[in-house]
Amino acid sequence: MRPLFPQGTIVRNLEAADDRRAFSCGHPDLDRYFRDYAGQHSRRGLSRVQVAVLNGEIVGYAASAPGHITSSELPSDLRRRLPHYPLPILRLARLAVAEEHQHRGIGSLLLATVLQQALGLRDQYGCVGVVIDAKAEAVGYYATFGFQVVPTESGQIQGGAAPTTQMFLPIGTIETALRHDSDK
Amino acid sequence: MTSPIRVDQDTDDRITHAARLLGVTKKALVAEAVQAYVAQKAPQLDEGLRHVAELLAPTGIVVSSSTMRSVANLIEQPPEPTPSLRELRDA
Repeated sequence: MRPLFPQGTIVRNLEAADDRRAFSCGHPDLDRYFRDYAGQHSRRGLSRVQVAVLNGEIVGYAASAPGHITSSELPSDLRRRLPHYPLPILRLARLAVAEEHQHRGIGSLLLATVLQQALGLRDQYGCVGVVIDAKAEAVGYYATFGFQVVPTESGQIQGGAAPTTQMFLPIGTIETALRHDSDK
Repeated sequence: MTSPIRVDQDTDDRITHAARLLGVTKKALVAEAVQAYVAQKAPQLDEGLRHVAELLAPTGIVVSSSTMRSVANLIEQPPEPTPSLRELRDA
């Protein structure tokens, strides 16, 4: 069976000593975020930035943070089904893979790490699912994992020239998919 | 409230010289020069502001009631994982 990602790839938190200057995924906004802001975000606790490392080289990253989803108006039937406060989510704001390492499963590895993180968040504080801010060209990719588009009225993260599309995957689906038999 | 700005000797000499030639005060010359510089760099400043806005991007999203209904349905009746999602289990 073909391995899902290059052998030896590890995912860990971004460290201050990591050299981020050489990273290039082919998307200037994602590169600029990683080069100029990821370190600050990580140090200040604004988001968790995790990197995929292969042979000492950073080959991808994912930036996520807890967030919430709410409705501008909650009809009476929904008031009975949902709490009267915003629903907690894990928001995957940015995910990028270095150009020369794309299509090798590194994005999937990072995504799996973030989804596991969502399960941990659910267990500790509550989390109803993961929301991804997908660039237009990535919507199809995330759809293959079951993410569904949720049209938003506000709160989109700008993805450069074009706005991103928000996509949601419920925690129940994530748990069914990632739960190992020994966890049952 | 005003605060002094330190510049090197060459720059100070240039400001003094230009102000004399133009018949304006050094303060007026610097103010006008800064205004012109900011106008000239407007695109870069806009870009910088956009990045600051990104840094402060909200982590919450607001959806319509119909979208919230769809989200509630997904939470209450989560769909079966797709094959691609199941494959992530071994990642």
